[in-house]
Amino acid sequence: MANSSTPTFTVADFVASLNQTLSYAYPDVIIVGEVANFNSSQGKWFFWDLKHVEVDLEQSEAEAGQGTATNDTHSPTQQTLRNTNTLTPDPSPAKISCFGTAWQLKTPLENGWKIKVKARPEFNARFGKFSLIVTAVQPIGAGSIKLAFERLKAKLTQEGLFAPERKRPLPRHLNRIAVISSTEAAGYKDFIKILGERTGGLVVDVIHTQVQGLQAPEQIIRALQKLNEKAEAEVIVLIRGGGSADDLAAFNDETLTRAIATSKIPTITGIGHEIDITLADLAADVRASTPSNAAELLVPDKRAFLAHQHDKLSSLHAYLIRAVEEQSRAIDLQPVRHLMLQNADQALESVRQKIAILNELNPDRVLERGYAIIRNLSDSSLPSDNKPKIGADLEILRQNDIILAEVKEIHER
Amino acid sequence: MSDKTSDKKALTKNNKTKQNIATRIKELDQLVEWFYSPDFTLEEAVPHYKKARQLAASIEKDLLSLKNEIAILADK
Repeated sequence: MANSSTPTFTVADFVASLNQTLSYAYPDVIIVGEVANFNSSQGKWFFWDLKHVEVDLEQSEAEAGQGTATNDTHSPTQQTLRNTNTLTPDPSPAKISCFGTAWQLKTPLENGWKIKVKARPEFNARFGKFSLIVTAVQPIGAGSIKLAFERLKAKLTQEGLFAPERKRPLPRHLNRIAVISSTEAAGYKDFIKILGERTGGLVVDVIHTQVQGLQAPEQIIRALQKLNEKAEAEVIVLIRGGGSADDLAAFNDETLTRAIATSKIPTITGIGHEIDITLADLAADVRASTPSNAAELLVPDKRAFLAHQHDKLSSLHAYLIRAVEEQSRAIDLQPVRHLMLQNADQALESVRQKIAILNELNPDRVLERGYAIIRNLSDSSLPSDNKPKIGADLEILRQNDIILAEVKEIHER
Repeated sequence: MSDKTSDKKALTKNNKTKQNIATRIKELDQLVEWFYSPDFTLEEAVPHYKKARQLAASIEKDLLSLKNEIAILADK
């Protein structure tokens, strides 16, 4: 029956060899399918079948590739997806048995849900059956994601994980923050840009992680643990830009939600858009509607502050002008006016006196009194004794007329 | 110089600048308050106003020049 080239095993050896081959070929695999025949044992162990469903594996690959962290060592997974798709000639009847434990499967499952599992293929020697040992599960498709979200939300709400009294306010004057995000993601870039526009002098520690896919929750949890151990950041910011329900599903992971809720360092999330609410958002101390909004909630805007300073100085300037005007009006001018009037009166009196003196000295006034003024017309340069010569022409000026006369005689008085 | 040392230096430098700005903002606020206080006199108002403007200009300059220090931490 056997020839020398055909290997011969005991059952145990064959199972061991088979599992070694499987482990080498598929150390980790991600498979997409639909839950069927779901069963649990004592609420600790779960068994179900993963049925084939038509899915766009190209899209799944693209999603898995986005935000890939530098330590990603799971590229065989993507290869596996492609191969599975190509090698399945008639996938309609295909199904695989799955096994998972309660501590690994943080997402509730129900028959009919579409899910993505991260698993290790294994042949179970005891049951003589091939199965997937599932290490992580994520619902896919809007319907399954919504149902899983509601189930888990109800459970964690009942535990008080999202209670308002658990929320801590974020520190107001920050010196150091930590960001968990994919540094290649648009959401992260938006956050850093807005943060830089609004404030300066902040130290920002960034841990790069995947922000979607099955590995994202684990990486984010590790980052949270690391930052809490370092205990340097004053706030942890969890950032992820917009995407589909599948893209954001990582933020509905139970373990991640619990890690956020129990972080010693206050947390703020900026995940997706305004309408996207994840369990991570509910567990965080503060939920921002977007990554940009997270930056806005974290730090005050220096431009608004400077505008306020400008306004304050402008108001001060106007106030100063008003104060000068009011003070000018408040000064009592009566004494000054009185003094000025008094001085004016005195000056007027003095002028009047001078005019009176001048009037008295006016020659016309002398003539009015009957006197006459005599001028020598022959010789204007009278001798010092002021005597005219005999025969000299005289002009006699009186009040109303002028008489011309000649000197006939001169007698001494 | 290790990353940690340069981190600490950046933090210290940033903190000093920020503290300095904070002190000047407080000083500016006090100056502005003086204008509306009973201590206000027109004689002192002009030098006070000039000082307020100088303070505001220096605060603006430093605030605009402050940059955030971004460090990508290794995952391990």
